Amino acid sequence: MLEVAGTIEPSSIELLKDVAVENNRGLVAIGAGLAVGLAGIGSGIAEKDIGAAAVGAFAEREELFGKGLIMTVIPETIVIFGLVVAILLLFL
Amino acid sequence: MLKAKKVSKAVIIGNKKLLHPTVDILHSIQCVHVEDFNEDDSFLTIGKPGEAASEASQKLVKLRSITNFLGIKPTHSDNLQNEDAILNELDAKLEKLDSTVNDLLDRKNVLGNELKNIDDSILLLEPLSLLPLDLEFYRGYSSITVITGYVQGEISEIEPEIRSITANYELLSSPHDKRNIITLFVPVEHQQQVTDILEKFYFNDIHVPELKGNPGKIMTGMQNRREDIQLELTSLEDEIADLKGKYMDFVLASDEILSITTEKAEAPLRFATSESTFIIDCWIPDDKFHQIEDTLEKNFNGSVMISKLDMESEDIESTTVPVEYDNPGPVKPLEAIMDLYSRPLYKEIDPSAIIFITFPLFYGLMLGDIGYGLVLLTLGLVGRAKIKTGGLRPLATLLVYCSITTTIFGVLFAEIFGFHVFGHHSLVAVLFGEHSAIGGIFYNFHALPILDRLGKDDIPILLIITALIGVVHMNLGFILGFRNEAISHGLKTAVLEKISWMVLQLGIAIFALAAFNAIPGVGMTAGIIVALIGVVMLIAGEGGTAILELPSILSNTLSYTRFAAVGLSSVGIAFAINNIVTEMLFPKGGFFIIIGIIVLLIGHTVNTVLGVIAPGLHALRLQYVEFFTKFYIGGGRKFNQFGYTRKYTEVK
Repeated sequence: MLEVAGTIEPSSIELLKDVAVENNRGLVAIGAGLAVGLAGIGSGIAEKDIGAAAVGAFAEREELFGKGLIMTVIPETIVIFGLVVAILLLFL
Repeated sequence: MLKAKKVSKAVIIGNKKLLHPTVDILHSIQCVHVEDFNEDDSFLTIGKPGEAASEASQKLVKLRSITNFLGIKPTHSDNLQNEDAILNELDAKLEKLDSTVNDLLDRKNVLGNELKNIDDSILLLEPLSLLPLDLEFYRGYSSITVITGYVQGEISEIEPEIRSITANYELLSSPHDKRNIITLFVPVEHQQQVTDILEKFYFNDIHVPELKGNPGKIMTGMQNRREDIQLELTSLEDEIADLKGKYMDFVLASDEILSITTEKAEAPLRFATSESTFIIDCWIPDDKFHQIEDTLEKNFNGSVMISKLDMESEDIESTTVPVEYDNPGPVKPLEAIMDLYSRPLYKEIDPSAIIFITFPLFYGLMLGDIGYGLVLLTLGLVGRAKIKTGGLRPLATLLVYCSITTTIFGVLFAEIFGFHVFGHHSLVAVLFGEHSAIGGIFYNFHALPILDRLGKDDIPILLIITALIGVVHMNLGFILGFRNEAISHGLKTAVLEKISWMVLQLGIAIFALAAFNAIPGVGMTAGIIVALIGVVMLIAGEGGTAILELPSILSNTLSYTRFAAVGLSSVGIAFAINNIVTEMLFPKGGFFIIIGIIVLLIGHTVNTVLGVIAPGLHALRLQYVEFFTKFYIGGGRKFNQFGYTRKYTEVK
């Protein structure tokens, strides 16, 4: 193996390094995307049930709008965490 | 500000003969909240409605049905009408209007029915017009049966089967609407057999109208009549519109007068009365009490008296007191946001004035763009100019507030529609050239942006700043909570339930500073000890379940990083639109420049709409979820003034 490595031009090694860095950046981007996407799905699943119940309650009693909105948006924090993680991944 | 308007419970007692004059006075001063009297076992009974009630409500019913028919909607009116003038002509005018409207309604109904009949007949005649027979030939036979209807299948298949039963028949047919319409004349004795055959071809019977003559000609006649009716209906609608224009002011004004009359006349139903006195149980704002006392004294010379309960000595439940906001004008629009959640309790802090600052601040921090800010300012100002009354006006005002902070933060971030304004990527420098007079100023101006949301270096700083804003905001909530608890449950509870959270945060802060070597290492231990003291206080105050709430301090703080996140997503969309246009479309030139401009317009319109909705909801959520949960109880009753705010009439 060492003999083989010896035959590679130094400039080619630089190129391989560049490719590796580029690959890593791609993986970071995928990670960031997964962080937002999966967190979003999680929030969505949680919010759909609460939202439906809240609309039901709101239809019965209009003054429950504020409370319903609060209940509905509680799981939304999850996706904000995902977004923050993604931002940290991309910018740090 | 920060507190509900001070009110006192009061009782108005007087001679029953003076009940209606008293109602007149209370109704016109409009500052009393009347508590409905519920009959109990005592000798008191609810009062009897005035004589005017039934007559006025009958007229009101008549008037409302006219309002409905003419399609009159409440509007903003500048010229007020004299009540006496309206009252003088009310009966005569209402009677006349009622008969005119009834007449119009009858004519409309008659024409409508005729139109429906014609449509039904045309539907029946249309297939028959394809057969070469006049209508009178379909009936009136004794030895022949006439079968008319639709069949599926070819006539050449059906006819041989009929012929196999009898040769004595006559079949007329014509294709219509993917099927065949037939009429078949057969001797009565073969009716059953023929029907059985036709059943195989999915025979569907149709009714022949009892008319005479050629169906085609009859149809043409009906169609002519139909057009006439439609013309008549159009002219009828014009007449209704004329009537609406002519009587609109009168209808709105008399509706108002009759409503007031009914409300006054029915008011005794809410009061307690004995044989010769009446008792009104009510709430009165403290600053209006003497005015009301004086007015009653002046008018009734002591025959009607008012007395006030001492709110301090009486043990009055905070939930029973009706709440009227007491905020200066600019804060008023925020009351809509409070009501959306729940009105504060009487003894509670009313946070409208705080949201007045924080809501637009948060909104601006998220959107932060000069371009969007100015668009929203225009929308808000147009909204305020167009909407004079109603629930949407506070929202328009709020939009103006938010647009101002958006513009200010836009300057700090140096963004116009997602483009940079200052520095080497300045849009102005790109448009005018970096060495031109104007472009050069922007190109070489480096003081702004203070925070660069488009570059990546400042984003961690932005995240930290937003979390710190969160810490400040939440602790403001804890302080307000401390005040509320101290008043309602005493100082000890307040310290254990609210200050404990602040101690916990202090511990975490000391620990974190030590962990990042900002203070000496012993700080870590000290931090843990302080935090534990906080937890112990919390458990002492709220019980063991409080441990479950501990993580909320972290999630709540991180929740504020949405300022950065929501802002960045809005910047991201703007940035993407601009990149697509400037890098991909404009360089191709020609036709692509037009496409580029269209993409710019649509893209930024969509982003503005998202920009209004997303930061609005998130700013609202941070108030409701992160801020209010620290101190707010809510559930106060609205202070409903007994009275009527006149919109269309005045009393001279």
